Amino acid sequence: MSDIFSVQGILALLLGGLYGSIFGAIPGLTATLAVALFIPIAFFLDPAIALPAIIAISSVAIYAGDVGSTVARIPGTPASAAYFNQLFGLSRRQGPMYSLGISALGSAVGGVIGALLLMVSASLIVQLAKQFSSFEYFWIAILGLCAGVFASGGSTVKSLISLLLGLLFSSVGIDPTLGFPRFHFGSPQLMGGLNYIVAMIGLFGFSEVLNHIFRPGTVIESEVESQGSAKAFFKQPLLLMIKKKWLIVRSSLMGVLVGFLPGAGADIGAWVSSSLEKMRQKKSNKEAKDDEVILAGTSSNNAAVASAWIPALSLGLPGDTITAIVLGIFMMKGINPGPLLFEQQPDLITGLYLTFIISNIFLLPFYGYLTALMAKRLIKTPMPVLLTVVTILCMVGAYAINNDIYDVWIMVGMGFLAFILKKGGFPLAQIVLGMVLGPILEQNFMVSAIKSRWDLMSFFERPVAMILMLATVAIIYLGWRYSRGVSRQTADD
Amino acid sequence: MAIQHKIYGGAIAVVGLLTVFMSRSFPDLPEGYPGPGLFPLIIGGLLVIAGLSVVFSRMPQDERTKDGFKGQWGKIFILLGTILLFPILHRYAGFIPTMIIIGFVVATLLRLTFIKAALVAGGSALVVYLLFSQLLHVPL
Repeated sequence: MSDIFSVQGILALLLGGLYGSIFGAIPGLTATLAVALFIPIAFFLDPAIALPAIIAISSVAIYAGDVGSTVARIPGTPASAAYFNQLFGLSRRQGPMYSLGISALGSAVGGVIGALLLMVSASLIVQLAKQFSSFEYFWIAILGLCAGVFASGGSTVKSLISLLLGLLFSSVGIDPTLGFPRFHFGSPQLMGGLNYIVAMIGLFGFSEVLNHIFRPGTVIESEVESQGSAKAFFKQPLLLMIKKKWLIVRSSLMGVLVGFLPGAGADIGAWVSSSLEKMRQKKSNKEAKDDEVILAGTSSNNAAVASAWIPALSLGLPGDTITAIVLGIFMMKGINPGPLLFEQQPDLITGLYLTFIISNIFLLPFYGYLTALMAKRLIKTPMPVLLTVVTILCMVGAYAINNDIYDVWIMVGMGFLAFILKKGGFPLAQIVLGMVLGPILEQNFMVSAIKSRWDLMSFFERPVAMILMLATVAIIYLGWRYSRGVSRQTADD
Repeated sequence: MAIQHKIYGGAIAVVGLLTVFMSRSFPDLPEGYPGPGLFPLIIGGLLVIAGLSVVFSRMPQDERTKDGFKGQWGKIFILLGTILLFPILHRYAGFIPTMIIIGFVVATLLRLTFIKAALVAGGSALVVYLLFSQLLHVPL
């Protein structure tokens, strides 16, 4: 597909990247929304131009989700929520150029690894994906939840409570088994469930505003005044990445493995990888290294962005919401995704592979650098000014999702809940994890249970499910051992 | 602050109990198998256990020095009260003036002077509105 190297193709990539970086950086505007709003334009474009533009939008927007975490501790995407505290802390200690440099370059390398694996092993992975049934998805969700609980760094019980609250919020609305409405209290809006993007804006954005109003002066100022921009953005993160090459490979592989599972995608990839890295650091009793946690999460989420296309292209199953939209565009253009696509449209497939490589090698560092320069300026803005803008962004962002005032109430309610929970030492990221994984967990549990006529032993009979279960047990054991170690140390002190 | 620690645990346990109670009213699947109530029932049960374990556990060392709920509650309620007026303001004043008013209240609560608060609220409301509605074509 030579169209990528045409003037229109290059323009599509450049404008797509710019558009994605704006959407990712603004709280409430996600990569999914960016792609959804692109549909009317995509309709009039050749698929050979529209699809690369979508790849550029999604790859850059997933990275740009880290800009909000860096500037104001507000993750732009659920994937970014997995390591937003580390990003915020690191940007205050070593500057936003360094933290966003790790994020952009880690995303780029993870994306390239994901794309290379997509090229080399698409057909093999498709065979493996075919082995996955609801039993395996259930265990994947359990694995992600357990890793999230033990990775919080604070009290395990409080982390579990946050996770349970997230799971409870995910159960609001129509249930996946009978279509029975739950916890809607007569409100038609609640029947549709709680939108986790709205919840996230409240949990991380609005709660921060409330915190500063409640107790002014608790501002964490940046300790780094001015480092050479390019050096901090490119050189230092590259040195770290060379030093931690196996961490990137490991996390990218995890991202690929999670990303190609239909319905999983970048969010869970980032959560699993960054949680595993946090646990590994705890287990070896090393001082927590935020840059390594960010590297793990960010390389994993962009690897997952690439691999989410595997089931979409080869099986016609969406790996995430973005690929669901892409499948719609395929249908719109009369292209039938599935195994035959690889035989019938080899040019299109080659073009998509090339676009992933180009987007990750050129666009991510380019737009990453631009957004980091922007973040460097924003970080110096006086906190009252920044928080006024954040409040307006939170309100408009929540309202814009469905053009419904009701979402603003949900956002404000979540913000107030987060404000109260933070005072009690409860982590917030686990609530988002629960809201993201809750529907996957419940649906796959119920489908598996009904399929096996409630023979619960069937959850332990399939080989891949067994491997996932053993991984879950290992994570619980390691997390429990660590928690016990910390408790004893505290008692000794 | 140990009492706060126990209040949190108690509140979580109550939320769990309410969840269990409400989920009991959801229907079962045919042949008596658990249905839509199962997932919330398990979550509620676990919330009760976790909440009680917070109540009966010692407060973690790093939380003992925190001063918890001492702060400016009045300002929090002023902001929440202003946001509650959102539908009325939106209907009669329009979207941009509503955002300017809310932004102005936040800026004032964060101790900006009157002029600065007005400028910051007006400027940011206008920029955010134009960004969403004109540049990104997100309907507002």
